[in-house]
Amino acid sequence: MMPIERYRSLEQIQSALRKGECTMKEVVHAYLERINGTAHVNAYVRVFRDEALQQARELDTRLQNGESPGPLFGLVASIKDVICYAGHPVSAASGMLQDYISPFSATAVERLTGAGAIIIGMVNCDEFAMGSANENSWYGPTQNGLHTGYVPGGSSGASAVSVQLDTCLVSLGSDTGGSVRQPAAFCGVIGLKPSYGRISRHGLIAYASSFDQIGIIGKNIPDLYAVLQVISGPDEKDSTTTHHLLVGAGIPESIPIEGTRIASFSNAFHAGGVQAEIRDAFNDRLDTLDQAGYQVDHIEFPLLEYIVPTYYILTMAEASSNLSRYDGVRYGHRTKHAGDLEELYGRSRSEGFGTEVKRRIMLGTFVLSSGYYDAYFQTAQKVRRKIMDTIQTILDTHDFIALPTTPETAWKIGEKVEDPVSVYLSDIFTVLANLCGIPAISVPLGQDKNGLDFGIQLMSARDTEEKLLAMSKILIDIQ
Amino acid sequence: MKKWKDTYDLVIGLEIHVQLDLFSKAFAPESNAAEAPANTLISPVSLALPGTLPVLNNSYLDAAIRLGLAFGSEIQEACFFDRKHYFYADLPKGYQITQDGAPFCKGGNILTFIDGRIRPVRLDHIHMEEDAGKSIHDLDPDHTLLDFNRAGTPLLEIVTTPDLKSPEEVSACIDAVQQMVQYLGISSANMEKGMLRCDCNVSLKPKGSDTLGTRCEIKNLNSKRHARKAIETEVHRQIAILDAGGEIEAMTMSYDAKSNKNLPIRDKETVHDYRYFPEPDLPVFYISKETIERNRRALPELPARYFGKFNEEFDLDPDQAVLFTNSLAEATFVSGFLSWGPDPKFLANIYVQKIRPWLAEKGWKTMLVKEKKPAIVKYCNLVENGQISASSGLQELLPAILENAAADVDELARKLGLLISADTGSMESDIHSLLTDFPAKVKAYQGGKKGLIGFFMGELMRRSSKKPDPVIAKSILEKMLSR
Repeated sequence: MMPIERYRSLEQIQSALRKGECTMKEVVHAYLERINGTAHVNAYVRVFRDEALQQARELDTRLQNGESPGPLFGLVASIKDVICYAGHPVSAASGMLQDYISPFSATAVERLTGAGAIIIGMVNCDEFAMGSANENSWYGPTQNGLHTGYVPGGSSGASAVSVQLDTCLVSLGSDTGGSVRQPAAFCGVIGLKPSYGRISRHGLIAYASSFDQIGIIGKNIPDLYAVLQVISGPDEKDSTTTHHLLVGAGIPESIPIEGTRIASFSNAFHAGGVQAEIRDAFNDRLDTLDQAGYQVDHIEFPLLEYIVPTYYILTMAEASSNLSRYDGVRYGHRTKHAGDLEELYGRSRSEGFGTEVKRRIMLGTFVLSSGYYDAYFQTAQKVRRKIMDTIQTILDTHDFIALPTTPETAWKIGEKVEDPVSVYLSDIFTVLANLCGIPAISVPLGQDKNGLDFGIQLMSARDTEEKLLAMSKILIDIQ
Repeated sequence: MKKWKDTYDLVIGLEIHVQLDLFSKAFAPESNAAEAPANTLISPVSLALPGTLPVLNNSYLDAAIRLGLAFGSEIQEACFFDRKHYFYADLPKGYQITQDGAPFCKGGNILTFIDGRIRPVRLDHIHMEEDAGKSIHDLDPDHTLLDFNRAGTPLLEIVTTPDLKSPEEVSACIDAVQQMVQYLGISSANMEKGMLRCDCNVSLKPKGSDTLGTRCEIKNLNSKRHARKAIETEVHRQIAILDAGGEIEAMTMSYDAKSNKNLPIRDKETVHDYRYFPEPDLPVFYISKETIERNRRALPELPARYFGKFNEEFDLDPDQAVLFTNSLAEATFVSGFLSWGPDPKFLANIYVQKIRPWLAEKGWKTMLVKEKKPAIVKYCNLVENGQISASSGLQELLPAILENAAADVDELARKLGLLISADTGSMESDIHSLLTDFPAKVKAYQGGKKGLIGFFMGELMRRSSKKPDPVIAKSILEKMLSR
């Protein structure tokens, strides 16, 4: 069996395929072996073995015949169980959608496969992408691939694990408040959440429409960029896709040291909620940048304490609405014990949804209900606007904002199940980018005394992913 | 009814829901056809499958803008959609996409024809909303059946101010809305088919008072007759309460035609908290000046314009002017027809009496009339010159012209024996011999039995070989009888 983990990037795989050092069939076989060998982590909920091998054979034939194989040939991806793939089940890791098969593919999937990539399987996540530990799943929790007994983060936990364990080259996840970046940090890989509207949400099962964005998890910046180039761009099936195209000239080779300003929030560490090892490694890395000549400003972000409440009020409100469609009438779980329509709704939804999803639907319904709308939803909308404006002002004078990806490293499975609020609060650094619609990336920063990974996060102005990726490369290389 | 009108003013506001005949649905690509087998006009979007998103159909926005412009409303620069939540089996997403906070247009007037005059009914606003599917409760004894063909159908909701004062005005206002959307070609507005439905808000206030009374809403009226009856019924119910010193309780009702009663809809179904909030899947949209102008240019001549033309330019009476304004096709045809040369009033009369019913029979193929223009003009001239009588011409010659495509009018008139002989001398000798034959009746006539003129006319017509003009014949007869 070929040692697939030796191929660290799409470029290496493509070069090996071109030179005939290996075949695509061998590549897919190797990944399938690794999926089998790591089944205990419970990352994959569906593996498309025969299909992937068939596609690999077709690609091999095309390569042999000298036909153009598409820009992403050689790329094997996993997709989160909230992304639709025509003819395949998709369940959002929920009991509600156990027998559901999507009749269409997400635009991102269509573009990915259209460019020659092979989807090897679908991976676990938190139910309807609600969670930060991949524990709220109909399929049970996914383990951190390198630290058994620890969470991989969430909600795209298994997406990060699938990359961490070399069962695929990249994974598509979704990021509503950090769901791609936080597990990437916990698993020592890279997670990119592009600008809101960069990648079509058509075919992404909605959690909170004005926050959701498909994200990419991988092991290096060029791979993320190659995938982003293919799957991003306007889509007539999603009116919220941005019309600002990527520059397309590739990631800039370097970012000019002179004049590049990076902001960090000094008050992010005041409350003492940040693990010492993360704080120190973060400050060290910024110092290194500073010494290299980049200007690093430690500034106050006055609205820090409002970030999490604003985020949760708005996402829960949107979620309560988005999940109304799961009513047991047209598809999905329908109770066997209903006397009338109201009972059909009550029981189907009570039986189909898990605890965290029900909690968010109820809170979301509450903040939208008459008498509370102004106090909660509308106030949160106004605060969101204020946060956006403040961040915009910062980004008018700074190229990047740097923060730790998470205040702490991965916790033990089950440790925080009874304490949802502490889990919500741990999203403090990641939800900011979703509130503002700006791109954000998490790259590995270090490990704590137990060897658990953590990351550093970089954000930039809307629609400046290329610049963000270029700076991320520097951030990785400069250590 | 007289008595209460001395004490109370009736105040009515309407919400008129018009289902549009667009090619595709409001936010989904599939066909919006009116009739199709159940659950054949569906798509992942209108079934609300996981991962689907709404996309605004541009022709929906165009139709909305045109109706707004036609009613003189102010088209808003920026507007957005909201979600309106409730659970029902035929509502796929668990919410309807509608406009609550920022409708696309505000203000304007519905120009209604009331008693032969144009009266403006002020609009509050018009908003866009998608329809739900249909629940069918009466086809299967054990199940409710669902048809999602209608789910996502584009609606326009026209909301008036409480500007209407009688059931007749309500009826006229619905007429005006139907007429307008038909002119614009955006809906057949067929009430029987549910293409137009109406909610009436009814209240009474003391005569002359400025303060509105508590209103009750009668929902989903599906014919003008029902609307009138429901309002009348509701007025009497409210009067009975007010006269007894009671207070009106705000209520939502539905009209039951069988019992002619408005039945309150149970609280559980009405005290809804719809939890409106801005639809995040559809960004705020901006209606550009170019878009407005493009739609303004696409507007046809509107009913009020045609009414003015008929009533003022052609000097027709208002009832006729209203009649001719009925549909865009008819108004266009008639306004051309009245300009054919002969006296417009004469043309209008022959149109109402003969041509219109004939056209209706022929399915309004106005070409059939247009191609007979020379013959019809010739016919008008014959009548005007007194060569044929107006009445017999209308009864015999005009129908013959309509039925015989290529016939020569003179020839037809001759064949039908309608040409009036100009020879009054021969008529006089006919009358003379007639009077000689009936001396007793002549005496009786001269003695005061003027009714006998009918007898003489009848005899004269029977005896004459050539068709005498009845008007001329009658005047000569009267002259000779009184000698």
